[in-house]
Amino acid sequence: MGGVYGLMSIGLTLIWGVMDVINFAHGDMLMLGMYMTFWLVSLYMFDPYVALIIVIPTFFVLGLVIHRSIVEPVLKGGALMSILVTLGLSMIMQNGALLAWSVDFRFHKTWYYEIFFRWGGLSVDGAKLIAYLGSTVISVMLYFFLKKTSIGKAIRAVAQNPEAARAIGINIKRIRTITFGIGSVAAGIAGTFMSVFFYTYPYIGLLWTIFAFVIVCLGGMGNFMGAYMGGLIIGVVEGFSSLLLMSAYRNILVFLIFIIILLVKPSGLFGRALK
Amino acid sequence: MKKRFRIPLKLISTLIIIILMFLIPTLHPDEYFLGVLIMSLLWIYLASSWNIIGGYGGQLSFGHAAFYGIGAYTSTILFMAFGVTPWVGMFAGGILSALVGMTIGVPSFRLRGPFYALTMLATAEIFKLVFLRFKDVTGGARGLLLPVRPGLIEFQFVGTTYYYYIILSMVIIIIAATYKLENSNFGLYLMSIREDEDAAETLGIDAFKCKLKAAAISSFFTALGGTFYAQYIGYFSPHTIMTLDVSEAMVVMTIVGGAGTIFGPVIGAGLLTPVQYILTAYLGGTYAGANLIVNGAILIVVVLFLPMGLYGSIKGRIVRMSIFRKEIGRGFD
Repeated sequence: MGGVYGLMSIGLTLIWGVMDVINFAHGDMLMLGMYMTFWLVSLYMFDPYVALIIVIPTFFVLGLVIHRSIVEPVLKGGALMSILVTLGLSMIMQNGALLAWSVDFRFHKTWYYEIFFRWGGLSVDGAKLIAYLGSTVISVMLYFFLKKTSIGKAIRAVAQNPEAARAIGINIKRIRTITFGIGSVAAGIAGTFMSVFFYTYPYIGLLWTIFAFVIVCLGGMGNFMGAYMGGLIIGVVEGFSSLLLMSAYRNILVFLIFIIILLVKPSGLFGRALK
Repeated sequence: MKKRFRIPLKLISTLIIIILMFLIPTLHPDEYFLGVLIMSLLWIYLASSWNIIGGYGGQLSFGHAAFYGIGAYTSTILFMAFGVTPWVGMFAGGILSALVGMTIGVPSFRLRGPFYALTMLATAEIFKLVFLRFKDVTGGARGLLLPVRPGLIEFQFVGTTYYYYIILSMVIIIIAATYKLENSNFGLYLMSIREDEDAAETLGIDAFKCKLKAAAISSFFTALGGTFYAQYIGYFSPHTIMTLDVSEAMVVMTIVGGAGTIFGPVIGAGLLTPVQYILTAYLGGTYAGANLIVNGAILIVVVLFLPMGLYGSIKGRIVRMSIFRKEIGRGFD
């Protein structure tokens, strides 16, 4: 679980870090990813992980379209404007899903969910194991993409200083669009992994949005490794608390962590001091 | 000369509108019409409450539903368990949620940017979960059903007319409060914090304290609205009054009308609430959520093309001019 949280938060932190946009629709994107995988699996008998072949390009294009149509125009207005447009987007996505697919909890059991791996006292089902490993692999790939490729370097340059990046000839509009696309893909992939072991329903996006924010704040904003580590921490906390407490208190605990972090160390565990 | 003429004119037109509003139930005594009007007024009231922190303070709150719920639950539980009249319970709920609002403000107002919005989002969810959990006190997901006991002390009336008068008075109070805020030093502090927090602090404004105060006022008024809703509808549960939809509606209505203006929330909520009713009437049964899609779309369009909101865009220039003039006037006094 922690690994998927990490991947989902990386998408958010990337967009946040590069263009100071807080994407309120991030969790809803993840929700759409879950639905897409669910339908591909249950209607077209896809293997959930083969569905990624369709999910990834779809979400990349979706991210590009969203960015160009509603995010780029309000970038000048600052973070609050972007919160408002993505909030509107989130309302549309959430209620669109509600309208199209009703409030039913949907889950398609695949054999991944039924095999178990045990070692020591721990047991984990195949779906979660794949989700963890897959998310980790993709996070590492993204990390190296940002460090080594020219586009990745351009993205980091824009994150550090947009004006200077423009001055050395980087098309910052294009880079921002690509970043948004990558962020959406991260959400889509996390959705695919999640749909194999979690119920899909329209309102789940809100939960993931909040979780992703908690994790990003835990790890430090715009901090790539921080987001991944934060995801792991929250995943572990969640796992242990559901052993000890009733499941409904689990979410309360996660939100409390968020408030405590804001109080104690708002720059996050792995972050630099806030500006 | 000019001044002596302008003020009575404003006052008289305001009075005429208020009198007309009070006469509506006698002129057009239609229960459904009044019902829609009451809900519109309630939303105008809620959006105006949100506007104090969200519009003037520039601190977007995505969790005002928490205060709304606290107001409704406090007064109702006090009434059902201890027989305290909701008129008192109303203010108990208001004070309680003002305290909650300030408590939330302490960690998040020290930081800039989106932290308050996020904290409020999480807080509203926490409160919803807590209210759902403690079934003994709150009735959990089944909600609370108020015992029917009409009477002035019980804040329950037969027919909608009385509720109409109450909510109308509440709206007048909040508009007056907003007017007072806009013309007070505190309001100016708030607006300066919204525009540029660093500059405001350089001028010696305690931004943290101002934001806390605004949050307390805003949550206090929101809670009163919660009590009104509880008394008017007679039934509520966390799923009806404490969802994100409620918080979002306050945001959308204020932003669409024009945040940080007196009449922005009035226009936003006054236009959108009837639209919601019409959409629900035509689509509600078969297409749940369609009205919220429309809301979301309206929000995006307004933010993209009319960033000042409907009222703000029309009046923006004039308002800015008059503020400017007022400032100059103060400077030379």
